Amino acid sequence: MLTFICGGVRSGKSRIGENIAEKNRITNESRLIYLATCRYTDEEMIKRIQHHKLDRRNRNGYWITIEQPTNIDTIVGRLKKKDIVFLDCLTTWLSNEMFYDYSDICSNHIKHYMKETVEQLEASCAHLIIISNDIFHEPVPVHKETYLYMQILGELHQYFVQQAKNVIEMEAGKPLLRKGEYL
Amino acid sequence: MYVVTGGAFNGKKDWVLAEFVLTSNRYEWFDLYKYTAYEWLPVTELENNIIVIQGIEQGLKQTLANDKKDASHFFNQYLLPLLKWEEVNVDRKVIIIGTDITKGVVPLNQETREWRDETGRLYQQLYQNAEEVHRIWFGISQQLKSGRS
Repeated sequence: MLTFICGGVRSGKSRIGENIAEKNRITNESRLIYLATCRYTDEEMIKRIQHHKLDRRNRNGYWITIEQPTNIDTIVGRLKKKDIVFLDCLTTWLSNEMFYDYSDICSNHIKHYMKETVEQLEASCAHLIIISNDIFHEPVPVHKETYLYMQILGELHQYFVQQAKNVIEMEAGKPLLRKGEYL
Repeated sequence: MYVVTGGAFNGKKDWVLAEFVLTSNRYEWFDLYKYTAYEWLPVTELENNIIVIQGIEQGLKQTLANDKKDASHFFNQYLLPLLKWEEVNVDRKVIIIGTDITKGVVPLNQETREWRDETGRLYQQLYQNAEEVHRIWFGISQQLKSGRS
């Protein structure tokens, strides 16, 4: 099962995603896996990562964190059928894929790879929850790479919204159900 | 007039194609992202009943740059004639797609700021004059207005 959650920064996306994951643990056999895509780039990023880590530690001890900025497909083999995987988040994952080594960006290849990886993750666990940021309500930048980034992210959002069983839009801490059901 | 809005890259065009256009094969599509010169509304020469204008905010941007006028001028000058044309025959439909560019950080560039402001004003005018308004969020539609009021 796939659940897609999207909203602005600090709108409570992670919190609701973590709640859903914890509520839907099937048995003690289900592990809660936090798939973190952030890279430690600077002080600010480190603070954000620590903030999220601390948040999870304060919740309960079930969470296992896997830090995987790229090559996310490599963790598929480590998953168990009853696991709940929480991928936080699509935006940083895409920027890692696009801007990791400054080589030429092949958008079709990246889109295909990310869709495929999500499909594999979903098939290998009980429930995959994906978080992403809504960054689409301002003038589209003319800067080529940023334009391309928004274009690919928008396409991925549309695709995952279509594929997901449940879709939630977050607005200032308030979840708005766009598809499926609240879990 | 049917207005379709939502963020960039949210699937507005595909939604319009599926909802309004595919059932009729006679339509004219003006893509203002590709063709921004604003002789794009030759009302007297329209041959089809369905007219789609994609990227209305780009048309507005051109007008602001060239005419030094505002959203209200743009509406009266370029959209009102179309609405009059639409009223003549019940089969006629004018569909306007506009990206919502009004919710980001204040742009540093003054022209972009003005464009963003006028886009907000234009959308209020579109909303008031529309028969239907739909907002698209990653392919999912929400109807904000039905019937003229």
